[in-house]
Amino acid sequence: MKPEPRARIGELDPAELRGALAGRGLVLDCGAARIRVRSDVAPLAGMLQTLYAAYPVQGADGVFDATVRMHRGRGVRRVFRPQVELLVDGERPFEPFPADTPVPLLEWGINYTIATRLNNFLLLHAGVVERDGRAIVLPALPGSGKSTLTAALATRGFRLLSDEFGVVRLADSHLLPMLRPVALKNESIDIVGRWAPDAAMGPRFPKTRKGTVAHLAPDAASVDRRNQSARPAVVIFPRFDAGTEFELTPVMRSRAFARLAVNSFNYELLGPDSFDALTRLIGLSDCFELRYRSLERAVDELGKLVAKSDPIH
Amino acid sequence: MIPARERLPGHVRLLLDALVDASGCASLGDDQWDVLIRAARAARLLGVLAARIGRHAPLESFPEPIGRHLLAASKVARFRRSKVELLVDAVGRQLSKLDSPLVLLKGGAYLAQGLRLAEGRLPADVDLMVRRTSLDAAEQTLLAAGWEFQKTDAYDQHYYRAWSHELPPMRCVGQAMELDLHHTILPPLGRLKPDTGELFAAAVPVAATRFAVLCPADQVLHAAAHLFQDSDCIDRLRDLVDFDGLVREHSAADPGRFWTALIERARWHHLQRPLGYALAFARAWLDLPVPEPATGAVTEAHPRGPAAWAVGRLAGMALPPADPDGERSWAAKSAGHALEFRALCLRMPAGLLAYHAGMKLVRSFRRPADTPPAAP
Amino acid sequence: MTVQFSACAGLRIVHLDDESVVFHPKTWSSHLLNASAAAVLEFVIERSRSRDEIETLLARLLDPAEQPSLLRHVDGVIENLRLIDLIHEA
Repeated sequence: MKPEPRARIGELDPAELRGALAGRGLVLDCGAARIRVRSDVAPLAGMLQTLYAAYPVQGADGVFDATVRMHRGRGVRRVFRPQVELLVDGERPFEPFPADTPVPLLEWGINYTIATRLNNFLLLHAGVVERDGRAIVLPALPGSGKSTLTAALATRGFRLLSDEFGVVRLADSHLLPMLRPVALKNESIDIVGRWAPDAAMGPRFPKTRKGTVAHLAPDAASVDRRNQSARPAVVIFPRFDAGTEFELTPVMRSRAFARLAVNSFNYELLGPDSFDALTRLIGLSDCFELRYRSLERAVDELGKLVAKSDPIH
Repeated sequence: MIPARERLPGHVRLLLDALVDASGCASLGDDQWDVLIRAARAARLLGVLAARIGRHAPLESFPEPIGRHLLAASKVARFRRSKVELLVDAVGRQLSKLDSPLVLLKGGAYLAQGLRLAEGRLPADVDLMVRRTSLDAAEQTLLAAGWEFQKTDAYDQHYYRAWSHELPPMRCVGQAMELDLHHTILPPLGRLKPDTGELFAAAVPVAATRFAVLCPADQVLHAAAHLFQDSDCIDRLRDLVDFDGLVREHSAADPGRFWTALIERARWHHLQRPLGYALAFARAWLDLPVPEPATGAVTEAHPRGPAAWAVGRLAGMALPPADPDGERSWAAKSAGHALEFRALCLRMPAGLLAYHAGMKLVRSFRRPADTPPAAP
Repeated sequence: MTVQFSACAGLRIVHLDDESVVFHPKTWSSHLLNASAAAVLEFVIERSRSRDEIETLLARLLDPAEQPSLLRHVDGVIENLRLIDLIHEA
């Protein structure tokens, strides 16, 4: 069904990419979902080429998880305080964004669509990385610094599955990749920039509702393994804390279960399926709360933790 | 007056073909699946489509992402179903002592009766009909049990109670669905007045529950009237699919008896026109079989004249979902507006209509328009 | 005739460390139960129990130092389980 990838998006001639985007569409294969993007917004093509550089080029015919279209605002909004608008399969579920922030709108729109549609999986709101076949789940709570930590792990030898979605397969509770550019905000952008100076970052968008936003492009190794699942091994509730160098405290698994359930996109919707999948996931995992200020130490210790975690309890 | 199926846009034809014969989906190409899934989703029929496909082959046997689209849609429908059952269970206990039958309408009824057409549907609320004389008691009992009216202003409350056939929607902590309490099936001041007493008299109890449902013929008539009397038809293909499903299921055991009862009761309730429209569309678009003996009566019920021609054309444009690759055409939107106006006219006498339209205009200036969820 | 408590049919219980999580098949809600609440629930799932039987169970499970407050504890546990529809009066 899918054509063999001829090249990566980053290798395409920019004119060819613009043409695809304005025509049948550009395909973003995130692993657990494939999104088709169509747009005539000229600056978007170059930005997507940076953020999705490592992703395979795929034909835009066939069946996709969603088709999203971004176009410029209509009428007066084309020129006066110009806007960009996102349509998902013809519906307009979002407010338009200022025209100079197309990527945040696209990324947020795709995430929203995945979160509301992909109900064949249990969708946790979490970052997920993997090493040696074992996954670390990092639930997303405000102020947790989850994205910074996920980005740091992903640029130091961990495979990136996602920074936003813990996609849990119902049959065996394995995590599946939903590979998306990692959204970083404000200080986090500079922190990750210093941490991984060679990592590809997209443009900065200074005036979004969340402050300044930029995205880290997923690396080729993670992209190439986007269809590989990972066994859950560790659940970490991170909290960036300037007063603590590094502290890892075990969390009762029952409490971890509850915290993951409330931090999920569709736990309630799936009823018995999500209860079974999440209890199995927790049963397979060691659960901790992490307080840290040293990214170096956190990454180092988590690496040791994953290497040590015994799959048989 | 009704556009023939072959003349409908490609995405609509694909959807109708798949609903009529789900087994045919096995031979669809990828591009066709793409259009079909997106059209079904736009029409809120993806769950119904998945249920029909699932009767011929397990959903897991379809290649990805087709399989997961269908599976996800059926999970959503299953969730909605559990929420309806939870509400019906609670309300059955809360209203057990009410001096009136508790007649479930529409989706709540289809689930309680275990009708096949209920599978994959996406109910958003539960409609319950009680006798007008018991309406106040029902309202008080529910309020005491923790139900609350949605925040409505005095005008809305007045509109609902005085002019409508239902109370404003009610919500309750712990219930995901809304409860709509009715005392008849169509707006009471409207042009068409079904015999409410007959609706109750002929209602059929649901075994082992406190509830009843409309008799088969009345259930079919309600579905037709709901669509062709009381709505603007925009994107309401799913209501036509319900109508078609009801006729098929209710006529299966004894077609002769069912069709006779349907035609007779349509006359009794003065609902021949909406029935005529619904049958015409269901035959044209969903291949609804009408047996020989009934065709004569059905033809007699078939609406005629310029008004009928207009409704046929307008509904034909408004009913199907928009092309997922485009936006709803201006013409289709206008068709919807025209039908909304028609429904409003049918709902209330002319004097009240002007007052209502005026109030809506005034309020739209006073209240900020609803906006979709803002970006985080 | 003493009041008997019985459990809702079809509850799914999973033990995670010292606590339990429960899924209610009708409301589709999930609950977190501490050790004593979980013990009472499983006791009642086995068969209908009276308040006295539940009190006896808790007396066996709880720390002797907590005995004076046991009376309050029994009613509290039963009421909490009842409020979330896990048990009801038979």
